[in-house]
Amino acid sequence: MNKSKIVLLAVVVVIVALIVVIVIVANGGKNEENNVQNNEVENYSTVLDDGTKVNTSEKLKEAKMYGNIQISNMRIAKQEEMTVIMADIQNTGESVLARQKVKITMLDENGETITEITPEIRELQSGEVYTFSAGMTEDVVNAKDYTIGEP
Amino acid sequence: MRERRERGITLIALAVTIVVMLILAGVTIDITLGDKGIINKAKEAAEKMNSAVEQDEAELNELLNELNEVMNSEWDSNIEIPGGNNETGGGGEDSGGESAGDLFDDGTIQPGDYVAYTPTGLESYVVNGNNSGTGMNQTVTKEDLKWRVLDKTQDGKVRLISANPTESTVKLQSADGYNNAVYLLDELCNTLYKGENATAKSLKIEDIQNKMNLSVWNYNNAASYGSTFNPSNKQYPLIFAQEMGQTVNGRSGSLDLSEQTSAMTGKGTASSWTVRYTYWNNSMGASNYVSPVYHELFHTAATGTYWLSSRCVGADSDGAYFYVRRVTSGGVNAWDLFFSRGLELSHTSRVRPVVYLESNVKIDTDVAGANGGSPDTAWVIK
Repeated sequence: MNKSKIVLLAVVVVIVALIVVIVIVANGGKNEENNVQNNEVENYSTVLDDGTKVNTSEKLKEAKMYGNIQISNMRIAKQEEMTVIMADIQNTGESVLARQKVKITMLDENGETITEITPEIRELQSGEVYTFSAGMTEDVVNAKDYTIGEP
Repeated sequence: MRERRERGITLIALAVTIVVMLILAGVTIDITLGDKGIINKAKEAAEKMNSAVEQDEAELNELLNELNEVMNSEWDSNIEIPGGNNETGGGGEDSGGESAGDLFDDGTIQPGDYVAYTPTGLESYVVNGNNSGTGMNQTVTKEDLKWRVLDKTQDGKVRLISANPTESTVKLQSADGYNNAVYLLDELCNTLYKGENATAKSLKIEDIQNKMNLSVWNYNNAASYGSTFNPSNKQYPLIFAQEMGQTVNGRSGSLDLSEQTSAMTGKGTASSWTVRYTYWNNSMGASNYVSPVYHELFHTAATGTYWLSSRCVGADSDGAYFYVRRVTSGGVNAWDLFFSRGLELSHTSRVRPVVYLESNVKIDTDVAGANGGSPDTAWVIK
Protein backbone atom coordinates (compact mmCIF):
# COMPACT_ATOMS: atom_id res chain seq x y z
CA MET A 1 0.00 0.00 0.00
CA ASN A 2 1.54 3.31 -1.01
CA LYS A 3 1.52 6.51 0.99
CA SER A 4 -1.24 8.20 -0.89
CA LYS A 5 -3.61 5.30 -0.22
CA ILE A 6 -2.85 5.39 3.49
CA VAL A 7 -3.50 9.12 3.68
CA LEU A 8 -6.73 8.67 1.75
CA LEU A 9 -7.79 5.90 4.12
CA ALA A 10 -7.02 8.09 7.13
CA VAL A 11 -9.08 10.95 5.73
CA VAL A 12 -12.00 8.62 5.10
CA VAL A 13 -11.77 7.31 8.65
CA VAL A 14 -11.79 10.84 10.04
CA ILE A 15 -14.81 11.81 7.96
CA VAL A 16 -16.73 8.67 8.92
CA ALA A 17 -15.89 9.19 12.61
CA LEU A 18 -17.09 12.80 12.52
CA ILE A 19 -20.33 11.82 10.76
CA VAL A 20 -20.98 9.10 13.32
CA VAL A 21 -20.42 11.53 16.21
CA ILE A 22 -22.70 14.15 14.64
CA VAL A 23 -25.46 11.60 13.97
CA ILE A 24 -25.31 10.23 17.52
CA VAL A 25 -25.48 13.71 19.09
CA ALA A 26 -28.36 14.76 16.83
CA ASN A 27 -30.34 11.57 17.47
CA GLY A 28 -29.88 11.91 21.24
CA GLY A 29 -31.60 15.31 21.21
CA LYS A 30 -34.48 14.07 19.10
CA ASN A 31 -35.09 11.11 21.40
CA GLU A 32 -35.28 13.45 24.36
CA GLU A 33 -37.96 15.53 22.62
CA ASN A 34 -39.92 12.40 21.74
CA ASN A 35 -39.87 11.22 25.32
CA VAL A 36 -41.32 14.50 26.54
CA GLN A 37 -44.07 14.39 23.91
CA ASN A 38 -44.96 10.80 24.79
CA ASN A 39 -45.33 11.68 28.44
CA GLU A 40 -47.68 14.52 27.60
CA VAL A 41 -49.85 12.35 25.41
CA GLU A 42 -50.09 9.26 27.52
CA ASN A 43 -50.35 10.41 31.12
CA TYR A 44 -53.35 12.35 32.41
CA SER A 45 -53.67 10.80 35.85
CA THR A 46 -51.60 9.35 38.64
CA VAL A 47 -52.43 7.13 41.60
CA LEU A 48 -51.57 8.29 45.11
CA ASP A 49 -50.50 6.05 47.98
CA ASP A 50 -54.03 5.85 49.37
CA GLY A 51 -55.42 4.74 46.02
CA THR A 52 -56.86 8.10 45.04
CA LYS A 53 -56.52 8.67 41.31
CA VAL A 54 -55.73 12.29 40.41
CA ASN A 55 -55.88 13.98 37.02
CA THR A 56 -52.63 15.64 35.90
CA SER A 57 -53.62 17.26 32.60
CA GLU A 58 -52.34 20.82 32.38
CA LYS A 59 -55.18 21.63 29.99
CA LEU A 60 -57.63 21.39 32.87
CA LYS A 61 -55.76 24.08 34.78
CA GLU A 62 -56.14 26.64 32.00
CA ALA A 63 -58.73 29.39 32.35
CA LYS A 64 -61.72 29.24 30.02
CA MET A 65 -64.43 31.84 29.54
CA TYR A 66 -68.18 31.49 29.09
CA GLY A 67 -69.64 34.98 28.89
CA ASN A 68 -68.33 36.68 32.02
CA ILE A 69 -67.81 33.38 33.83
CA GLN A 70 -64.21 32.27 34.08
CA ILE A 71 -63.58 28.64 34.96
CA SER A 72 -60.02 27.77 35.90
CA ASN A 73 -57.83 25.34 37.83
CA MET A 74 -60.13 22.36 37.28
CA ARG A 75 -59.14 19.36 39.43
CA ILE A 76 -60.45 15.82 39.14
CA ALA A 77 -59.91 13.02 41.64
CA LYS A 78 -61.44 9.57 41.99
CA GLN A 79 -61.84 7.81 45.32
CA GLU A 80 -63.40 4.36 45.13
CA GLU A 81 -66.56 4.73 43.05
CA MET A 82 -66.86 8.51 43.34
CA THR A 83 -65.22 10.96 40.97
CA VAL A 84 -65.09 14.57 42.16
CA ILE A 85 -64.63 17.57 39.88
CA MET A 86 -63.63 20.89 41.39
CA ALA A 87 -62.95 24.21 39.68
CA ASP A 88 -62.52 27.87 40.54
CA ILE A 89 -65.33 29.96 39.11
CA GLN A 90 -65.16 33.74 38.88
CA ASN A 91 -67.47 36.47 37.68
CA THR A 92 -65.12 38.63 35.60
CA GLY A 93 -67.84 41.10 34.65
CA GLU A 94 -68.84 44.30 36.40
CA SER A 95 -72.40 43.29 37.22
CA VAL A 96 -74.02 40.52 39.25
CA LEU A 97 -74.41 37.22 37.43
CA ALA A 98 -77.69 35.42 38.08
CA ARG A 99 -77.83 31.69 38.78
CA GLN A 100 -77.44 29.81 35.56
CA LYS A 101 -76.70 26.40 34.21
CA VAL A 102 -73.71 25.72 32.00
CA LYS A 103 -72.78 22.64 30.04
CA ILE A 104 -69.31 21.27 30.73
CA THR A 105 -68.12 18.66 28.24
CA MET A 106 -65.21 16.51 29.36
CA LEU A 107 -62.90 15.43 26.53
CA ASP A 108 -60.44 12.57 26.19
CA GLU A 109 -57.00 12.71 24.55
CA ASN A 110 -58.56 12.48 21.09
CA GLY A 111 -60.97 15.32 21.73
CA GLU A 112 -63.90 12.89 21.99
CA THR A 113 -66.64 13.52 24.55
CA ILE A 114 -66.34 11.42 27.72
CA THR A 115 -69.40 12.90 29.38
CA GLU A 116 -71.43 16.07 29.75
CA ILE A 117 -72.61 17.65 32.98
CA THR A 118 -74.84 20.68 33.46
CA PRO A 119 -74.09 22.18 36.87
CA GLU A 120 -75.88 25.26 38.13
CA ILE A 121 -73.54 28.16 38.83
CA ARG A 122 -74.76 30.15 41.81
CA GLU A 123 -75.34 33.92 41.77
CA LEU A 124 -71.99 35.68 41.66
CA GLN A 125 -71.09 39.26 42.57
CA SER A 126 -68.64 41.11 40.34
CA GLY A 127 -65.19 39.63 40.85
CA GLU A 128 -66.46 36.94 43.23
CA VAL A 129 -64.67 33.59 43.12
CA TYR A 130 -65.87 30.29 44.56
CA THR A 131 -64.90 26.67 44.27
CA PHE A 132 -67.41 24.58 42.41
CA SER A 133 -67.62 20.85 43.22
CA ALA A 134 -69.57 17.98 41.69
CA GLY A 135 -69.62 14.25 42.42
CA MET A 136 -70.34 11.51 39.91
CA THR A 137 -69.92 7.77 39.47
CA GLU A 138 -68.72 8.10 35.89
CA ASP A 139 -64.92 7.87 35.66
CA VAL A 140 -63.62 11.07 34.04
CA VAL A 141 -60.29 11.21 35.87
CA ASN A 142 -58.37 10.64 32.61
CA ALA A 143 -59.92 13.65 30.89
CA LYS A 144 -57.44 15.77 28.94
CA ASP A 145 -59.51 18.89 28.35
CA TYR A 146 -63.03 20.31 28.57
CA THR A 147 -65.28 22.84 26.92
CA ILE A 148 -67.98 25.11 28.33
CA GLY A 149 -71.16 25.96 26.52
CA GLU A 150 -74.87 26.62 26.73
CA PRO A 151 -76.85 23.71 28.19
CA MET B 1 22.66 -11.22 0.50
CA ARG B 2 19.07 -11.37 0.92
CA GLU B 3 17.39 -7.97 1.24
CA ARG B 4 15.37 -7.53 4.36
CA ARG B 5 11.92 -6.16 3.65
CA GLU B 6 10.45 -3.96 6.36
CA ARG B 7 6.77 -3.31 6.77
CA GLY B 8 5.22 -0.34 8.68
CA ILE B 9 3.42 2.91 8.38
CA THR B 10 4.80 6.14 7.26
CA LEU B 11 5.22 9.17 9.47
CA ILE B 12 2.39 10.95 7.66
CA ALA B 13 -0.05 8.11 8.36
CA LEU B 14 0.96 8.12 11.99
CA ALA B 15 0.46 11.87 12.17
CA VAL B 16 -2.95 11.63 10.53
CA THR B 17 -4.00 8.88 12.94
CA ILE B 18 -2.88 10.92 15.93
CA VAL B 19 -4.77 13.96 14.63
CA VAL B 20 -7.91 11.84 14.17
CA MET B 21 -7.60 10.45 17.65
CA LEU B 22 -7.08 13.95 19.07
CA ILE B 23 -10.16 15.19 17.26
CA LEU B 24 -12.22 12.27 18.54
CA ALA B 25 -10.87 12.75 22.04
CA GLY B 26 -11.72 16.44 21.92
CA VAL B 27 -15.23 15.78 20.71
CA THR B 28 -15.70 13.08 23.33
CA ILE B 29 -14.43 15.28 26.15
CA ASP B 30 -16.66 18.13 24.98
CA ILE B 31 -19.72 15.87 24.80
CA THR B 32 -18.98 14.43 28.21
CA LEU B 33 -17.59 17.28 30.26
CA GLY B 34 -18.53 20.44 28.37
CA ASP B 35 -21.08 23.01 29.52
CA LYS B 36 -23.70 21.21 27.45
CA GLY B 37 -22.12 17.83 28.03
CA ILE B 38 -23.78 14.63 29.07
CA ILE B 39 -22.79 14.91 32.72
CA ASN B 40 -24.09 18.45 33.09
CA LYS B 41 -27.26 17.55 31.23
CA ALA B 42 -27.73 14.57 33.52
CA LYS B 43 -27.29 16.79 36.58
CA GLU B 44 -29.73 19.34 35.19
CA ALA B 45 -32.21 16.61 34.36
CA ALA B 46 -31.92 15.16 37.83
CA GLU B 47 -32.45 18.57 39.40
CA LYS B 48 -35.43 19.26 37.15
CA MET B 49 -36.86 15.83 37.92
CA ASN B 50 -36.48 16.33 41.65
CA SER B 51 -37.99 19.77 41.41
CA ALA B 52 -40.89 18.49 39.32
CA VAL B 53 -41.49 15.58 41.69
CA GLU B 54 -41.48 17.92 44.68
CA GLN B 55 -43.86 20.28 42.91
CA ASP B 56 -46.13 17.43 41.85
CA GLU B 57 -46.15 15.99 45.34
CA ALA B 58 -46.98 19.37 46.81
CA GLU B 59 -49.79 19.91 44.30
CA LEU B 60 -51.14 16.40 44.76
CA ASN B 61 -51.04 16.70 48.53
CA GLU B 62 -52.81 20.01 48.30
CA LEU B 63 -55.43 18.47 46.03
CA LEU B 64 -55.80 15.44 48.28
CA ASN B 65 -56.31 17.66 51.32
CA GLU B 66 -58.88 19.67 49.42
CA LEU B 67 -60.55 16.50 48.24
CA ASN B 68 -60.68 15.06 51.73
CA GLU B 69 -62.11 18.30 53.00
CA VAL B 70 -64.79 18.33 50.33
CA MET B 71 -65.48 14.62 50.43
CA ASN B 72 -65.49 14.74 54.21
CA SER B 73 -63.91 11.32 54.24
CA GLU B 74 -61.72 12.13 57.19
CA TRP B 75 -62.34 14.35 60.13
CA ASP B 76 -60.99 14.91 63.58
CA SER B 77 -62.92 12.59 65.87
CA ASN B 78 -62.50 15.12 68.67
CA ILE B 79 -64.63 17.62 66.83
CA GLU B 80 -68.18 17.18 67.94
CA ILE B 81 -69.70 19.92 65.89
CA PRO B 82 -71.45 18.79 62.74
CA GLY B 83 -72.65 20.80 59.83
CA GLY B 84 -70.04 23.53 59.95
CA ASN B 85 -72.56 26.12 61.11
CA ASN B 86 -70.76 26.80 64.38
CA GLU B 87 -67.30 27.71 65.57
CA THR B 88 -65.25 24.68 66.52
CA GLY B 89 -63.34 26.53 69.20
CA GLY B 90 -60.20 24.58 68.47
CA GLY B 91 -61.83 21.25 68.01
CA GLY B 92 -61.12 19.42 71.23
CA GLU B 93 -62.66 21.31 74.13
CA ASP B 94 -66.12 20.29 75.27
CA SER B 95 -67.87 23.60 75.79
CA GLY B 96 -71.18 22.20 76.99
CA GLY B 97 -74.36 20.96 75.35
CA GLU B 98 -76.04 17.60 75.52
CA SER B 99 -76.04 14.80 73.02
CA ALA B 100 -78.90 14.95 70.58
CA GLY B 101 -79.77 11.35 71.43
CA ASP B 102 -80.10 12.06 75.17
CA LEU B 103 -82.21 15.13 74.46
CA PHE B 104 -84.44 13.05 72.21
CA ASP B 105 -84.79 10.38 74.90
CA ASP B 106 -85.83 12.86 77.60
CA GLY B 107 -88.28 14.60 75.28
CA THR B 108 -86.44 17.92 75.05
CA ILE B 109 -86.26 17.58 71.29
CA GLN B 110 -89.14 15.84 69.57
CA PRO B 111 -90.15 14.60 66.14
CA GLY B 112 -91.01 17.61 63.99
CA ASP B 113 -88.68 20.04 65.80
CA TYR B 114 -86.54 22.20 63.55
CA VAL B 115 -82.75 21.83 63.78
CA ALA B 116 -80.22 24.23 62.24
CA TYR B 117 -78.16 21.77 60.23
CA THR B 118 -75.81 22.85 57.45
CA PRO B 119 -74.65 20.09 55.09
CA THR B 120 -71.03 20.11 53.97
CA GLY B 121 -71.40 17.82 50.96
CA LEU B 122 -70.54 18.66 47.39
CA GLU B 123 -72.40 21.31 45.48
CA SER B 124 -73.67 19.05 42.71
CA TYR B 125 -74.27 15.39 42.01
CA VAL B 126 -74.40 13.95 38.51
CA VAL B 127 -76.94 11.14 38.19
CA ASN B 128 -75.38 8.76 35.69
CA GLY B 129 -77.59 8.44 32.62
CA ASN B 130 -76.77 4.77 32.07
CA ASN B 131 -77.60 3.87 35.66
CA SER B 132 -80.86 5.83 35.75
CA GLY B 133 -81.95 4.26 32.46
CA THR B 134 -82.56 7.67 30.87
CA GLY B 135 -79.33 7.70 28.84
CA MET B 136 -78.63 11.29 29.86
CA ASN B 137 -76.77 12.60 32.88
CA GLN B 138 -78.85 14.68 35.29
CA THR B 139 -76.95 17.25 37.38
CA VAL B 140 -78.69 17.87 40.72
CA THR B 141 -77.64 20.91 42.75
CA LYS B 142 -77.62 21.11 46.55
CA GLU B 143 -80.46 23.23 47.93
CA ASP B 144 -80.83 25.34 51.05
CA LEU B 145 -83.17 23.00 52.90
CA LYS B 146 -84.59 23.29 56.42
CA TRP B 147 -84.37 20.23 58.67
CA ARG B 148 -86.71 18.63 61.20
CA VAL B 149 -86.27 15.81 63.67
CA LEU B 150 -87.58 12.49 62.36
CA ASP B 151 -86.64 9.93 65.01
CA LYS B 152 -83.74 8.19 66.73
CA THR B 153 -82.30 4.94 65.44
CA GLN B 154 -81.55 1.92 67.59
CA ASP B 155 -77.85 2.68 67.39
CA GLY B 156 -78.35 6.14 68.85
CA LYS B 157 -78.39 8.34 65.77
CA VAL B 158 -80.92 11.15 65.71
CA ARG B 159 -82.28 11.49 62.19
CA LEU B 160 -83.33 14.71 60.51
CA ILE B 161 -85.65 14.89 57.52
CA SER B 162 -85.68 17.81 55.11
CA ALA B 163 -88.68 20.02 55.89
CA ASN B 164 -89.71 19.73 52.23
CA PRO B 165 -88.69 17.59 49.30
CA THR B 166 -86.08 19.06 46.99
CA GLU B 167 -87.09 21.36 44.15
CA SER B 168 -84.74 19.35 41.93
CA THR B 169 -86.13 16.22 40.38
CA VAL B 170 -84.66 12.91 39.28
CA LYS B 171 -85.92 10.93 36.31
CA LEU B 172 -85.79 7.13 36.45
CA GLN B 173 -86.55 4.94 33.48
CA SER B 174 -87.01 1.31 32.55
CA ALA B 175 -85.25 -1.72 34.00
CA ASP B 176 -82.09 0.20 34.88
CA GLY B 177 -84.11 2.86 36.68
CA TYR B 178 -85.48 0.03 38.82
CA ASN B 179 -82.03 -1.56 39.12
CA ASN B 180 -80.38 1.56 40.49
CA ALA B 181 -83.06 3.68 42.15
CA VAL B 182 -81.93 2.84 45.68
CA TYR B 183 -78.24 3.34 44.93
CA LEU B 184 -78.68 6.59 43.01
CA LEU B 185 -81.11 8.24 45.42
CA ASP B 186 -79.07 7.31 48.50
CA GLU B 187 -75.81 8.40 46.92
CA LEU B 188 -77.31 11.66 45.71
CA CYS B 189 -78.53 12.48 49.22
CA ASN B 190 -75.24 11.56 50.86
CA THR B 191 -73.10 13.43 48.33
CA LEU B 192 -75.04 16.66 48.75
CA TYR B 193 -76.40 16.61 52.30
CA LYS B 194 -73.90 14.81 54.53
CA GLY B 195 -72.11 16.78 57.25
CA GLU B 196 -68.94 16.50 59.29
CA ASN B 197 -70.53 14.09 61.74
CA ALA B 198 -73.48 13.06 59.68
CA THR B 199 -74.35 10.91 56.71
CA ALA B 200 -77.44 11.10 54.54
CA LYS B 201 -79.76 8.80 52.61
CA SER B 202 -83.10 9.08 50.91
CA LEU B 203 -86.27 8.42 52.88
CA LYS B 204 -87.32 4.75 52.55
CA ILE B 205 -90.56 2.81 52.69
CA GLU B 206 -89.52 1.25 56.02
CA ASP B 207 -89.29 4.74 57.53
CA ILE B 208 -92.96 5.22 56.71
CA GLN B 209 -94.11 1.72 57.61
CA ASN B 210 -92.41 1.98 61.01
CA LYS B 211 -94.41 5.12 61.81
CA MET B 212 -97.77 3.73 60.70
CA ASN B 213 -100.60 3.00 63.10
CA LEU B 214 -101.28 -0.53 61.91
CA SER B 215 -104.43 -0.81 63.95
CA VAL B 216 -106.04 1.71 61.57
CA TRP B 217 -104.73 0.18 58.36
CA ASN B 218 -102.15 -2.56 58.00
CA TYR B 219 -100.21 -2.86 54.75
CA ASN B 220 -99.63 -6.55 55.52
CA ASN B 221 -103.34 -7.04 54.86
CA ALA B 222 -103.33 -5.14 51.57
CA ALA B 223 -104.65 -7.02 48.54
CA SER B 224 -102.15 -9.62 47.29
CA TYR B 225 -99.39 -8.25 49.57
CA GLY B 226 -97.01 -11.12 50.36
CA SER B 227 -98.70 -13.48 47.86
CA THR B 228 -96.63 -15.33 45.27
CA PHE B 229 -97.22 -15.62 41.52
CA ASN B 230 -95.67 -17.42 38.56
CA PRO B 231 -96.16 -14.93 35.72
CA SER B 232 -95.87 -16.25 32.17
CA ASN B 233 -93.84 -13.26 30.92
CA LYS B 234 -90.45 -13.53 32.58
CA GLN B 235 -88.22 -10.53 31.80
CA TYR B 236 -86.80 -8.88 34.90
CA PRO B 237 -84.31 -6.16 35.96
CA LEU B 238 -81.19 -7.95 37.18
CA ILE B 239 -81.37 -6.69 40.75
CA PHE B 240 -84.74 -8.41 41.17
CA ALA B 241 -82.99 -11.78 41.26
CA GLN B 242 -81.07 -10.57 44.33
CA GLU B 243 -84.11 -9.45 46.29
CA MET B 244 -85.12 -11.22 49.45
CA GLY B 245 -88.15 -13.47 49.00
CA GLN B 246 -87.88 -13.60 45.21
CA THR B 247 -86.87 -16.77 43.38
CA VAL B 248 -85.37 -16.72 39.87
CA ASN B 249 -84.19 -19.92 38.17
CA GLY B 250 -84.34 -21.73 41.48
CA ARG B 251 -82.24 -19.23 43.41
CA SER B 252 -83.42 -16.86 46.12
CA GLY B 253 -81.92 -13.46 46.92
CA SER B 254 -81.11 -11.69 50.18
CA LEU B 255 -81.30 -7.99 49.35
CA ASP B 256 -83.81 -5.81 51.21
CA LEU B 257 -86.15 -3.71 49.12
CA SER B 258 -84.34 -0.54 50.23
CA GLU B 259 -80.82 -1.90 50.01
CA GLN B 260 -78.19 -1.54 47.26
CA THR B 261 -74.47 -0.90 47.62
CA SER B 262 -73.33 -0.60 44.01
CA ALA B 263 -74.81 0.19 40.63
CA MET B 264 -75.80 -2.51 38.14
CA THR B 265 -77.41 -2.47 34.74
CA GLY B 266 -79.22 -4.95 32.55
CA LYS B 267 -82.18 -7.29 32.50
CA GLY B 268 -82.61 -11.01 32.16
CA THR B 269 -85.24 -13.56 31.22
CA ALA B 270 -86.05 -16.23 33.76
CA SER B 271 -86.62 -19.83 32.77
CA SER B 272 -88.60 -20.23 35.97
CA TRP B 273 -89.50 -17.82 38.76
CA THR B 274 -91.72 -17.10 41.68
CA VAL B 275 -92.62 -13.46 42.27
CA ARG B 276 -93.60 -12.30 45.73
CA TYR B 277 -95.95 -9.33 45.78
CA THR B 278 -94.33 -6.47 47.72
CA TYR B 279 -96.41 -3.53 46.47
CA TRP B 280 -99.08 -1.78 48.51
CA ASN B 281 -100.70 1.62 48.24
CA ASN B 282 -102.98 3.59 50.48
CA SER B 283 -104.37 7.05 51.06
CA MET B 284 -102.84 8.31 54.26
CA GLY B 285 -104.43 10.56 56.87
CA ALA B 286 -103.17 11.67 60.25
CA SER B 287 -104.77 8.65 61.89
CA ASN B 288 -102.68 6.31 59.78
CA TYR B 289 -99.62 7.28 61.78
CA VAL B 290 -98.69 6.78 65.40
CA SER B 291 -98.46 10.58 65.65
CA PRO B 292 -99.99 13.29 63.46
CA VAL B 293 -96.55 14.85 63.15
CA TYR B 294 -95.49 12.05 60.80
CA HIS B 295 -98.42 12.74 58.52
CA GLU B 296 -97.30 16.37 58.49
CA LEU B 297 -93.67 15.44 57.81
CA PHE B 298 -94.37 12.88 55.09
CA HIS B 299 -97.41 14.33 53.35
CA THR B 300 -98.51 17.85 54.32
CA ALA B 301 -95.03 19.23 53.72
CA ALA B 302 -94.71 17.39 50.43
CA THR B 303 -95.21 19.72 47.51
CA GLY B 304 -95.38 17.38 44.55
CA THR B 305 -94.38 13.75 44.73
CA TYR B 306 -91.03 12.49 45.93
CA TRP B 307 -89.16 9.22 45.51
CA LEU B 308 -88.42 6.78 48.29
CA SER B 309 -85.26 4.74 47.78
CA SER B 310 -87.21 1.50 47.84
CA ARG B 311 -88.24 -0.97 45.18
CA CYS B 312 -91.40 -3.09 45.10
CA VAL B 313 -93.05 -5.58 42.77
CA GLY B 314 -96.59 -6.33 41.74
CA ALA B 315 -97.61 -9.44 39.79
CA ASP B 316 -100.39 -11.51 38.28
CA SER B 317 -100.47 -14.61 36.13
CA ASP B 318 -99.51 -12.61 33.05
CA GLY B 319 -96.59 -10.52 34.23
CA ALA B 320 -94.60 -8.83 36.96
CA TYR B 321 -94.53 -5.05 37.46
CA PHE B 322 -91.39 -3.41 38.78
CA TYR B 323 -91.97 -0.20 40.76
CA VAL B 324 -90.02 2.40 42.71
CA ARG B 325 -91.79 3.80 45.76
CA ARG B 326 -93.09 7.35 45.91
CA VAL B 327 -95.04 9.56 48.32
CA THR B 328 -97.69 12.11 47.45
CA SER B 329 -99.42 14.69 49.59
CA GLY B 330 -102.28 12.24 49.97
CA GLY B 331 -100.75 8.82 50.23
CA VAL B 332 -98.09 6.22 49.53
CA ASN B 333 -97.83 4.26 46.29
CA ALA B 334 -95.21 3.54 43.62
CA TRP B 335 -94.34 4.27 40.03
CA ASP B 336 -93.97 1.51 37.44
CA LEU B 337 -90.75 1.50 35.43
CA PHE B 338 -90.67 -1.96 33.84
CA PHE B 339 -93.13 -4.76 32.98
CA SER B 340 -91.97 -8.32 32.50
CA ARG B 341 -93.47 -8.26 29.00
CA GLY B 342 -90.71 -5.77 28.13
CA LEU B 343 -92.63 -2.50 28.41
CA GLU B 344 -90.47 0.35 29.71
CA LEU B 345 -91.66 3.58 31.34
CA SER B 346 -90.10 6.69 32.86
CA HIS B 347 -91.15 8.93 35.74
CA THR B 348 -89.75 12.05 37.37
CA SER B 349 -90.00 13.06 41.00
CA ARG B 350 -88.36 15.02 43.81
CA VAL B 351 -86.02 13.68 46.47
CA ARG B 352 -86.41 13.54 50.27
CA PRO B 353 -83.08 13.40 52.09
CA VAL B 354 -82.71 12.11 55.64
CA VAL B 355 -79.61 12.95 57.71
CA TYR B 356 -78.16 10.55 60.30
CA LEU B 357 -76.41 12.51 63.09
CA GLU B 358 -73.63 10.59 64.82
CA SER B 359 -74.28 9.84 68.47
CA ASN B 360 -71.61 12.36 69.59
CA VAL B 361 -73.42 15.31 68.04
CA LYS B 362 -74.53 17.79 70.68
CA ILE B 363 -77.29 20.36 70.84
CA ASP B 364 -76.71 23.70 72.54
CA THR B 365 -79.71 24.08 74.81
CA ASP B 366 -78.54 27.46 76.10
CA VAL B 367 -79.19 29.39 72.89
CA ALA B 368 -81.75 32.08 73.66
CA GLY B 369 -85.08 31.45 71.98
CA ALA B 370 -84.13 28.07 70.53
CA ASN B 371 -86.96 25.60 71.04
CA GLY B 372 -87.26 23.84 67.68
CA GLY B 373 -90.73 25.24 67.05
CA SER B 374 -89.94 26.95 63.75
CA PRO B 375 -87.04 27.50 61.36
CA ASP B 376 -86.30 30.78 63.18
CA THR B 377 -86.13 29.09 66.58
CA ALA B 378 -84.40 25.92 65.42
CA TRP B 379 -82.24 23.93 67.80
CA VAL B 380 -78.59 24.79 67.35
CA ILE B 381 -76.01 22.06 66.90
CA LYS B 382 -72.86 22.72 68.90
